[in-house]
Amino acid sequence: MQNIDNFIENLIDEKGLSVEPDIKDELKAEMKERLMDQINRAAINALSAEKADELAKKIDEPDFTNEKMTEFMMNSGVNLQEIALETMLKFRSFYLGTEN
Amino acid sequence: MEKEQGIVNSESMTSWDKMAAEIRRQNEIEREKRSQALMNRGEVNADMKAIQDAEIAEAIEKEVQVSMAREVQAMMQEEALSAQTIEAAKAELIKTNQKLAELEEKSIKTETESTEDDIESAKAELLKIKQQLAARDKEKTEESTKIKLKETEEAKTEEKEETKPVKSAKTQPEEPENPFDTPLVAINADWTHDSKEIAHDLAEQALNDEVAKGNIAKRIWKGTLFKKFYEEKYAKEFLSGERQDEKGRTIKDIIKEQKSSVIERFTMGVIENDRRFVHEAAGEKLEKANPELTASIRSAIEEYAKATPEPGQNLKDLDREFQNKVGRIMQEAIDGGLIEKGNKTTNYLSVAKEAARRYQELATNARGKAEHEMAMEQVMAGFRVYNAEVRNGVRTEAHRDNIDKITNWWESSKIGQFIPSEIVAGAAGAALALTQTGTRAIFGAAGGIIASSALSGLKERNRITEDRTRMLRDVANGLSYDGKGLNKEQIKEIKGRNARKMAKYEANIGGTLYDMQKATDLASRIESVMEDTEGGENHTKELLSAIAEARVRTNFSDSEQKDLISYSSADKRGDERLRLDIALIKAEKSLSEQDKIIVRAMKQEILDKITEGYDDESGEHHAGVDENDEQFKKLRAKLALKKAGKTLALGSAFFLGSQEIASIISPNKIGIFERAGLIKTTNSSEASETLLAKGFDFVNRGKENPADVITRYETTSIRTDNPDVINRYEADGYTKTEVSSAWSEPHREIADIDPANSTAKIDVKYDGWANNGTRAADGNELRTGIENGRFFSTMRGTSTVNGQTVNYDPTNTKGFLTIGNSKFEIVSSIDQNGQLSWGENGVFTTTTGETIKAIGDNGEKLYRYFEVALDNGVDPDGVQHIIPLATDVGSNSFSGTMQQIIETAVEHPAVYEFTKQIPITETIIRDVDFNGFAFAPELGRTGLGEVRASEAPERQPETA
Repeated sequence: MQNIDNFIENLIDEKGLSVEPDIKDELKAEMKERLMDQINRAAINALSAEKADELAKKIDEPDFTNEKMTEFMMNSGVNLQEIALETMLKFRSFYLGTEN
Repeated sequence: MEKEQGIVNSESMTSWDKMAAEIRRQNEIEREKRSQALMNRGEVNADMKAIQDAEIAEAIEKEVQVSMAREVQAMMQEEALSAQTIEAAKAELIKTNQKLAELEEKSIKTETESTEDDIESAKAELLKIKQQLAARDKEKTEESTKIKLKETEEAKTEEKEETKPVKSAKTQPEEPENPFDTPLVAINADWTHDSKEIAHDLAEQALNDEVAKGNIAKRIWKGTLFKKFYEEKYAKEFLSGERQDEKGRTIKDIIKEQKSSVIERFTMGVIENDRRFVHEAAGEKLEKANPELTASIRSAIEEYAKATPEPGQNLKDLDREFQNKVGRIMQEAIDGGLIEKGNKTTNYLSVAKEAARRYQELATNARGKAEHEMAMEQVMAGFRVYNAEVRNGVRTEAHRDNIDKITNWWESSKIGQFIPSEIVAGAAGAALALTQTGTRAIFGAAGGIIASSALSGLKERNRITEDRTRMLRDVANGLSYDGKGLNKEQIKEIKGRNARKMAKYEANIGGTLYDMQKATDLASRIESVMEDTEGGENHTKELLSAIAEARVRTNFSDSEQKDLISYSSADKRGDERLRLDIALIKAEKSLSEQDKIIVRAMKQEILDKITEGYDDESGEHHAGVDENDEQFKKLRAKLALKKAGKTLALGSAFFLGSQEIASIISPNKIGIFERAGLIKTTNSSEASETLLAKGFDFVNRGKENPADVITRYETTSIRTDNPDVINRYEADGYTKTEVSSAWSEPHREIADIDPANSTAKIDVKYDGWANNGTRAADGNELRTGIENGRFFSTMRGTSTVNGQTVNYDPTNTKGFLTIGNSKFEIVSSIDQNGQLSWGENGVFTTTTGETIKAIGDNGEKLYRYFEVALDNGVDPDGVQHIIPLATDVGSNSFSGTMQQIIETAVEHPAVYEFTKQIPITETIIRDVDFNGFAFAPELGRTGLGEVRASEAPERQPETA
């Protein structure tokens, strides 16, 4: 996930933070996790009523795995790349407080 | 017999009978309960009970049979269900029944078996899960694959096209500059999707209400067995307009209420070139319309703007003509595939009226055709039409519940990231490219994105909830919820007369806001403890509690999308959050493993208090997130909003669409700020000490002189145009600054008025009556005739007045209509014979533009007189002098109204900002009495101020 690491790195660099390298690494890791969580939540929130109903039933099945979740989301009609892009830009916008 | 006793025997009974038996069984239980209750109260004895039971059983049986038969009959008739379908449905019912019974058993079991031990073990399980989640990121691995970067040039190109005018194949001259603030934008909004959502939501509510009030048979039938069928049925009835909600509204009415706010939101999105106004994540779309359609609509608008009513027409006729015309244009566009068919609303007429107003303004000074044409070009410069798909409706409760269920499951499971890494990587690459090439971001200036939420889509989206979310967001972003930070457009919309109503509404909503902590306060607390090198138990505990508080609030805000952290402003929140993140990382690095375990337990306690609320030492209750949410739900149910009005953009949020927006001054502002931890207005040291002490009941136990008191100052400010509020703040010594001056907005409307009250009436003086000098009618009289509700002159020869010959021609002849005692000069036209005529289809237009229908559809002469007269001039007093040439006498039976144009102005008062330095007294806890603990001490709310164990910036003696 080189690109997302670069995205976070770029964001932190633009803030011009001067912190120790180990703190910076931890900060990057935290921000990345936070961003990924936001993207996941955004994707779930974007499900239509019908798809949300379908998935809500599927998750009760005992063998519902990560792979099945991925497969479902890929076929759910949600534009995942758009969601991810939108989330990233908003994440960036939050931290930078600027237009870009 | 078995059947009568309600015993279900699957061998001998049909599926239908099983259902009926189940209903009876439930009724039996109910009946027995009631009967026993009566016996216990001594109201019946055993014999009476037996008789009563039998009677009730019979009544219930009848009720069941009748009810079931009626419903099935209705279903079969209405839905033409086949016998096969019924059987299939019955089979489904049995399954549902069994499920119900299982659920009932389960719930009874759960109630009786829950114990304290269960609660404790659940808590321990939660702690374990949190520990597992914390370790999750160390176990994750990611694959890196190559992906193709999403074409970003499309975004750039699309953005360029948005700002350039549409050009046809032919070379066109450049559009002239638009002298008005904003160009005209027409929106064609498709509500098809939202109509269905609203219909389903209303159907669900209607069915739930019906079932709640119904008897047992109905509850089972409609509430369980055929619930889905009735939901669909009711939804169809709502969509067709057959059914109305509890306020008597149809879907059409509901959409009408929302229409103007939605149209305005999309319009703002176009004018500001800001996609945040479009709820894209929810599926909304906003796209430029086809150029052909745009050109047709533009042409219709220009025609309307230039039009004046023909004789016999009034302004409403012009509106009707315009609506018919655009209706035809839209139908042709649907037939031609330029737009989809659907449930649509537009703002074409209001845009056309605005175009007419602007054109009038510019054309007043225009001379000649060329200048008039230029004026129209200027009015229409930048005109665009957009097609929109609306997703403004409330999510159904079922949809919300499903989303919540999935989110909660995902957060607590080990599933982790489920979006393929290549998709995320691709998006990251696109984001990097967009931000590094200097392209203007898809999203405009930051300033309103929910701090912890990734989407503008909300979990609950109805008007009142949006308001509360907006307020929470504003407080989180450092705005006071009086609307500080309003731009010029928003200030213009504030209307002073509704200030109190709005203030009360805002205060009510404000009372349900969450208890937030400033990011800077949380960071400062951690930093100051870290800087304190003294160490010791106190230091450790303070550090642990500071970390726990900050982590709980950040995690809650991130995961629950409910902000418990506030920032100074939208511009500063990035920096403030980073500062907090870094402070937390540094502090956590200094913890031992033992400390980390303690922090986790502390976090659980704090989380419980934040969500569930708590009582402090003095017994005062502090509401938690759950309670605030519940209180809000009750409040929302009570608040009855009237018609939809305009929405405003407030940074990133929207006001209600249902009320005139007023200056948002809440009488309880100070209370809210206190709760939000942004400001305190008490300068009572006793009050402060109590408040702070409540939050830390493990400290200062038994201490007599626990604290020092300091005073610091914070600035509060507020904006208003409400005269009462202005006077109050001036009297309170606030500094007053004018942020926008008063201005007057011209307004034009058509009013129906009594002719007696019309300003178009004229004063007339008769300077004599003309006659043609003959006694008998010989064809030389000056006559008027009526044809198709129109007066026409048949004048021949000359006439005389007082013996003098009178020469007349169309240039010196006027028509006058008298209604009661009111006289009006009527516009004339000249026919092909060079003769004058007045009116058309019985409608007459005055020379100042008013219209009146003075001849009935069957030729009834409703007026008092119609006179054709010589214009003998207007005297210095403004009185018109006339010499009637011909008079037609009517029945004087007019009893209606005439249409008059009323020119008014809406006055917008000046808006002022008031600022003041407020002293805040705080208690500094110096000594702590801490005896050590294995688990978290009772940690109170720290949201009411800073607690520093180190030196304070300034110290003053304790004030009373």
